[in-house]
Parts: sequence; C-alpha cells; structure tokens
Amino acid sequence: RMSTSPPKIAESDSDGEGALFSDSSDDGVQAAPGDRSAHSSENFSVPTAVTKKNDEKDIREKTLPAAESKGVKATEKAIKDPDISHLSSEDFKHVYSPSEDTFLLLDAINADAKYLRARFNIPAPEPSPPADSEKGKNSVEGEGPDTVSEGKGAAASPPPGHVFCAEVGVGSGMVLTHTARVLGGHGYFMGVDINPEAALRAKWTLERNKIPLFDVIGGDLLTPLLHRLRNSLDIVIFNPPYVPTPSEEVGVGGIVASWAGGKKGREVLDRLLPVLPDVLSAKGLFYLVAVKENDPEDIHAIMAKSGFVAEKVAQRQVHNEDLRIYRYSRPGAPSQLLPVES
Amino acid sequence: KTIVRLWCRRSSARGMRLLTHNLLINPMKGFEQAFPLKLIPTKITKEEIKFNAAFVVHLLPKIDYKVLLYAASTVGIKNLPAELPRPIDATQHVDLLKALHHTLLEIHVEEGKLVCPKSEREFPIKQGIPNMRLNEDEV
Repeated sequence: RMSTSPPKIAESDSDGEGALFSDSSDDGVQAAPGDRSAHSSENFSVPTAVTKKNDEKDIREKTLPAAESKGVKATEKAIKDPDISHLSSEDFKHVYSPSEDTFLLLDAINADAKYLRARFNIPAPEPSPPADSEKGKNSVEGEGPDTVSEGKGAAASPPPGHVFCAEVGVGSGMVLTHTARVLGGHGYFMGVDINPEAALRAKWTLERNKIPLFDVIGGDLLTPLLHRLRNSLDIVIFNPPYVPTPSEEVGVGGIVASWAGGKKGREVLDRLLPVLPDVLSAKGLFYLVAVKENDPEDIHAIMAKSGFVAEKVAQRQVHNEDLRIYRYSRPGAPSQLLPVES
Repeated sequence: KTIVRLWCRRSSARGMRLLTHNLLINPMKGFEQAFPLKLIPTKITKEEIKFNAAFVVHLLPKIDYKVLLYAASTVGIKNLPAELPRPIDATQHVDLLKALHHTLLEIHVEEGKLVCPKSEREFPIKQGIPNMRLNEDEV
C-alpha cells in the first residue's frame, strides 16, 4: 500500500511494496464491478518483436486500490476510471487503446491522490467539516473549480490550489481525464498529441467526463507551448512510445507513433527530458511510464543533473513487459507539502 | 452505445480557449519569439464555466495581457481595460475578474486558424483543436 505521509526523498530506484508492486499476473483477482472489463481493447498486430500489447484482450482485472494505508482510515473511495464508452473499435484504429501501461499509470495516480492534493493544496472531494465556517468555502462537488467566497476570509486561509497539468501524448485522454478528476477539476489540463486523430478523441473524453478547463492541441511533445510555460507546469505526464524498435519506425506517424520508441525505446523520451527542468514549476512533478529496456537508471541520472529525484511509484510485470511508473520531483519539504486536512 | 457516441461527437462544442492562444507559439526552431500567433476565428461558441476569482488571479501572471486584449478583439470583446490594476484584488476587482474569466475561459474557437507573424505559416484550428504539428520538411 502506498503510504500517505509526506514523500520520503528517494535516493535510488528502490523497490516498493504493496499492491502496486506486483510480479504476478492478474489471475485470481476479482474484476472491479463494470469498470475495467468494459475497456477491452481490440487485438491488432504490432510490427515489432517486443509487443506493447499482448495477444489476449487487455481486460482490467485488478480492483482499484483502496485509499487505505497502514493505520490511516480511508476517507474517500478511489476515483472511478473515466468513461470512454464514446470510443469504439473504429477509434482504436487511430488512437492507442488503454492497455496495461495505461492502467498502471491510472493506479499510480490514484495512489498518489492524497500526495497530489497535499502538494498542490487541493481540497479533497468531500464536504468540509462544519467547524470550518470561518473559511466560508463551499464544499467541492468533485467536478469543477470551487467557488471561493469573494474576498471574505480569503486572506485568513490560502485559497484552494490549482494545477497546470499537461499530458504529452494524450492519446484517448484517459489519463489526463483521470488526473483531472483526482484533482477535483482544480486546474487547467492540457493534452498534446502528434496524432491529430488522437487529440480529437482525447477532447471527446475530457468533455464526456465533464472536465471544466482543458485544451487539446496537435503537436510534437511540448514544443508549441514551451516558451510560454517556463516554470509553469505543476504536473507533466508522459506515457511515451517506449518499445525498442528500429529508429526508422520513430516518427512514422499514426498509431505506430504510440509505441515505436527507437533505440532502447528512448528516442522520443530523450527529446522531452532536456526541456522538463525549464517547464516544471518548483513543486512540479513528472510522471513517466517506462520498461526495463529503457534503462531507467540512465533516465534518473539525466534528471538528477537538473536536480530531480526519482521515485518508483508503481511496478507491474505484464507478460513480457516489466512496467514501471516513475515520479520525478525536486527534493525539499516546504510546509506546503503537509496535508490540507489532518 | 452508438447513440451515445454520435451524440457526444455532435454536441462537442468546446474549442481552443483564449488562455491557450496566449500560450501558443510557432514550434519551428528559431521562431520562439513569433508570438502572438494571429488569431483568425471562423466559428466561435461560448460556454459558461464556474467563476473562481482566485483561479483567475492565479492565471494572470502567466498571461501576456496585451496579447489577451488582441485575441479578445478578434472575437468581438472590446470592454477590457487597456491595463490591469496592480495589485489585482479578488474583492475589489471582482467585475474585472469576471470579464477576464469570460474572455480567457468561456470563449471557444472551434474553427479558424493561427498564423505565424513572421513566416505567415498557418496552423489550422479544426473541431476545437489547433494543429501545431510541423511537416517533415519543416522539422
């Protein structure tokens, strides 16, 4: 289980424990009611030796991890996965169908919910206790930014935070949508995708799930936004094309762009890494999906040169892939990192 | 399911907000200063989003206000002041913040184009999505 205390500063890529670190397959685990078994993906061929998708249907069999952790009472249910019923097999010819890597990333963000809210001062999606009348805030419905009482009491307590969040390679929009939901919609959510067909599906997904403030653009990595977003992004998420392929397959376009990673599966990621220190805010976080073949230690070393530490927040062995989710942040423990509510 | 799908797509009325226009540049190497992109909207919709004064105040330092004035004029908004008061206050300036909220967040450019002021290269906006992807020969 993920701990909900302020994050320890990870010095190395240490193995964690709990439900997110699993070496076993999904056998024997009960399906969450209705949620993920509906998201079975189409089976279509992948032209490389290391397949990003396995041959069976990718059925989400793991239950959503509970918010509980040792000694900490669960105060909320895990947020349900986004609704993607508007996407069909036709759509998944154009955009990457949510698969095990997507689900692992969703799990990691779920597990980080309290950490994220504490870090960015986002209220939890439940009514504030009645004793908080002096704050004069409305409770957060879980959708849409909170209405702050205009002026009164705003000086007495910090206003709810807002995040600038960008997902590179937003695909079907599932991950960005889910992140927005976990944060109660408090922020501005940007999706970028090199494949304009994917960008369109992401837009539908964000709309269908009622994310208040988002935009999706077609583009390469963060290049159309970089110059204007210096030190501005609080969360950057990237599930890159991580499959090692011949270099010629990189940048081919269309759906192949979602997995063709070139040498060591790193050619696309290596173009994003250098810009992250400029674009991430002081409290900024970078979530990355990687497999063992990508040489994660090398990625950590590159990020460390700019002062980022890596924390492995999830790991799962899925057939032939040793999938990891890493979270990079600048170390430090300012008071803002303490949980909003006790 | 088919009905849900078709409804969802037809009713998709969201588009590029002026907040986003304020952040976009020509991604071609050497064109980082080509800002702002000219905004030529051909189809606009408006959609209300809950007003949050604190959020607008939080956004303002990231916004190039002159560029916002320009973008607002292209969609017919002309009632914004030439300059922002400093410091901006959630209570005192609530009407201004509401106007900024409307301009930044409630206008959606569904169709149109963005044009680089230096190279005149056009980036289309279709179905609410600006396509900033470069061609092979531009990379």
